Amino acid sequence: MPDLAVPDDAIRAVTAGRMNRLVFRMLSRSGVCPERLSFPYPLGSRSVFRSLLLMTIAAASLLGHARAAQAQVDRTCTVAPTTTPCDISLSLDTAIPYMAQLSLSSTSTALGTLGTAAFVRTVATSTVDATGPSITTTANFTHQLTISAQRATWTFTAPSGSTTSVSKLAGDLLWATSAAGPYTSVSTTGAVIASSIAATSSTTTGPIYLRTRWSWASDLPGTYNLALTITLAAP
Amino acid sequence: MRPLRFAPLILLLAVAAAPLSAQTNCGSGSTTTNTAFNSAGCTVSHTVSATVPFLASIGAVASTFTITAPTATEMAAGYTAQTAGPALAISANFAFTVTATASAFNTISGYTKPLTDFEINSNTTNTVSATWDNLSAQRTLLSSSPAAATTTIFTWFRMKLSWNTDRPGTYTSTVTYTLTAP
Repeated sequence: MPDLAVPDDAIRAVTAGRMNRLVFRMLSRSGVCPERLSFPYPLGSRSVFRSLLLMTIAAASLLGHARAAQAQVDRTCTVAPTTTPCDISLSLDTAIPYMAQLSLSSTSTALGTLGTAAFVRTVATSTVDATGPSITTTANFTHQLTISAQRATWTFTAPSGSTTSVSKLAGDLLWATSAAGPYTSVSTTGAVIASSIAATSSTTTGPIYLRTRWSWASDLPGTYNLALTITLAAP
Repeated sequence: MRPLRFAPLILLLAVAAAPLSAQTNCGSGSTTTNTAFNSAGCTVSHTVSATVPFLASIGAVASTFTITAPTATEMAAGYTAQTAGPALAISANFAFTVTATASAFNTISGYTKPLTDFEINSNTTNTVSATWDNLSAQRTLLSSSPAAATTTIFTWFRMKLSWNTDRPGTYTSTVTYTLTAP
């Protein structure tokens, strides 16, 4: 196994466009054959890539890449200093994944305790029940936001001592991106809130406006909860 | 003044310690295609909640009504003609019962007509039934009706008459309808 060394002074960086190229001189034990490795890496991550490179070289030595290295070490450099150096090149490609950050201004919206007015109005005539969350996205790609209900029905908790059950449809919650509407019923299938949001360090969508629909006959006394999912996707 | 030196730091720590809103970080080295990213899912949750109390609405189309003044024939028969009272419109989000009570009549020429003479008939089908109840006690008009947006109770009234006791005058009583959750 060759004895590989990468002294600090053997590392230098060359800036080329948006990528740096990290250049190593790799020395054999005999020190007669300086080898040069070069790796492109993003700007600002020199130390990270340096560590990564050192680990890669060590792993390569341990896991059987010694053969190639040995070949290099065994290669007798007869070139004179004034001739072409005895170089090897290795390219390291860095894959940047789809990355995003998605946040809501709040985790819940409480409509409070309802009054009879909530039961006698229609969705068309009601005022906004509540202003829901704003959605802030960070992404390195064009993206869209959708909203959906996690269940087809609201979760119902009956008052203490009551055994009633209620199956209130998720669609009784309606949402809109403006207070004036139009309002759309929530369903378990995602509905697009905003599309084609360009790659951004921070874009805020919303707030989402919410209205609810209540029925005398079916919405019995109790506590109702509906969990929504906001999804960021790459179209 | 020393504590004030740390005020900005304390404020900063307080802000940092405040609970974050819903937030998620998405993407990893394996999501180098949009399909892989979407499959991994990038979501946050938000819960909408509401409390619905026992709610009801009860109303009458008119706040007063008058039983037609009896004729001599009716006086002889012992009853006034039946008079349709106000229909009650009820909305409730729970099973409910409706009852009626009446206040005592006013006194006419020293005579106070008993509430046993004041009778009510009610149903939801707008047809007078054979059963009349006097309002000397609380009477149930509708029992355990299911939650509904609109339930209508129709009412009729009549008065027992007596040559011997019913002096000329205007007899007035207030009927109170009460909706309860049994």
